Amino acid sequence: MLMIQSENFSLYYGNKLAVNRVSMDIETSGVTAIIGPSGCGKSSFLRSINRMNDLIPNTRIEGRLTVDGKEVYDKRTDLVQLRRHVGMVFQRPNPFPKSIFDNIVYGPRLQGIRNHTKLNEIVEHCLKSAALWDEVKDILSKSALALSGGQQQRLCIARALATQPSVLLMDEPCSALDPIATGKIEELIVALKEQYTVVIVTHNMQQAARISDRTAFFCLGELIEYNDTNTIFTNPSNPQTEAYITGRFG
Amino acid sequence: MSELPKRLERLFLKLDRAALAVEQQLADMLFAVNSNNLSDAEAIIAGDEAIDRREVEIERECIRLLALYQPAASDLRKICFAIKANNDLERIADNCVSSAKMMPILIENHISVSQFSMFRILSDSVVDAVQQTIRLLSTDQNVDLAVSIIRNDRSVVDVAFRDFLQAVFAEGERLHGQVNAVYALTSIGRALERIGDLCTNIAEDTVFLLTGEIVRHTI
Repeated sequence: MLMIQSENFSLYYGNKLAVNRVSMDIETSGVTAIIGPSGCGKSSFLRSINRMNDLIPNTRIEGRLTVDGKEVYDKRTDLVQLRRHVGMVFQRPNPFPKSIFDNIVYGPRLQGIRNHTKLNEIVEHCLKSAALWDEVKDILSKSALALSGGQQQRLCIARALATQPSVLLMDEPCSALDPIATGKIEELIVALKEQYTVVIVTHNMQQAARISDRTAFFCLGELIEYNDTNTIFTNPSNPQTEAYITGRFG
Repeated sequence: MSELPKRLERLFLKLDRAALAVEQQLADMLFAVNSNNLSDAEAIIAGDEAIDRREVEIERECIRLLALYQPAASDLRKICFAIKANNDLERIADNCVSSAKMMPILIENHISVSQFSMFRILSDSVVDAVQQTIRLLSTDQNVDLAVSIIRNDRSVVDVAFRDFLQAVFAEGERLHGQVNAVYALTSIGRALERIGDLCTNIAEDTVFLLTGEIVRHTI
């Protein structure tokens, strides 16, 4: 079953073509990694999935992009609903300057949930899902900014889970973390893939190989190759993919 | 560009040299068993240590490359191939040693493999398999050659081994009471047949190296 479908999808920043006619189907559940050299359009494509690029002036798109069968760029699309349905985790942990508890319940409160018992349940569930509960259960009222970088990133993942999304987009979520924190996030991503459709952009090819089920290789805005991760990393069919993942270009 | 391509080139050069040393062991072993020369056989047993050292050195380099470069795609396949082929080459040399160790029994029983015409056919087919395998490792990496080695093992080496065994057992009457001699002859035949199998392993791994397809048990 497909969760995300793009069909000849292109994205322009002004006159600059960032994503060039990408057609790509992403299945429900599992982890899909997008790799490629800097400026290849992988983050632009990722950010298109929940229309984060709308915040950049002069962007325009061509082609189609659907999430769970619904047109992402339809005029009638409710952006708040879209972003509730498609959560995002960024390169650098960006917790709100609030308590750990308030970070998690920020989204649910916006959705109108006020019942304290319900909010407590959400906090516990999300922090457990993000493998952070045991570390913070006694300091929920402390500032999120006091947590370590790895903990902050897991908090951001927990915060993204709080709105019960179907899709989690991750834009280099471990690039600012040390190997221990990276390992924890990777374990978390693997655990989350049973329930969520995870799409991750990463420069770390070993990370893509470790945690993803499918890998897409982008270059100069185009989707060059998209296949099972095992195939991409042991026997890619496109010479450009081979050259990139063996470090001979890019 | 990383240093990896150069290091892989050097690794394959080492593997090639190891293969040539193993080919020499096989030639020496066949010369020794055909001429019933004990000192030649002892030289083969003594020479195995150098081959073992070379095997360990190549394996260490493979592990270093895996650890330092985290290779992928064709680079990863090259290192996987080198690890497996390196091990297979060492086992070919081990089979030469096993055969050489049978020499005292044959000499004691006044029997030589040269009495058996089928041994010549078996040993020639194995020498050919090893030479073709060395071509695969060095100058002529191609899938067709690999597949022909795999098929020849079944149609030529295995058949020659069966015929040799039959010839040994047919001589059973004459060798009555010389159970050790029969054991030594069949052991040497079995060692040669195993060498054919190990060439097949290398050929199968060459197909993986070149295509990414695992063809073991399918050809």
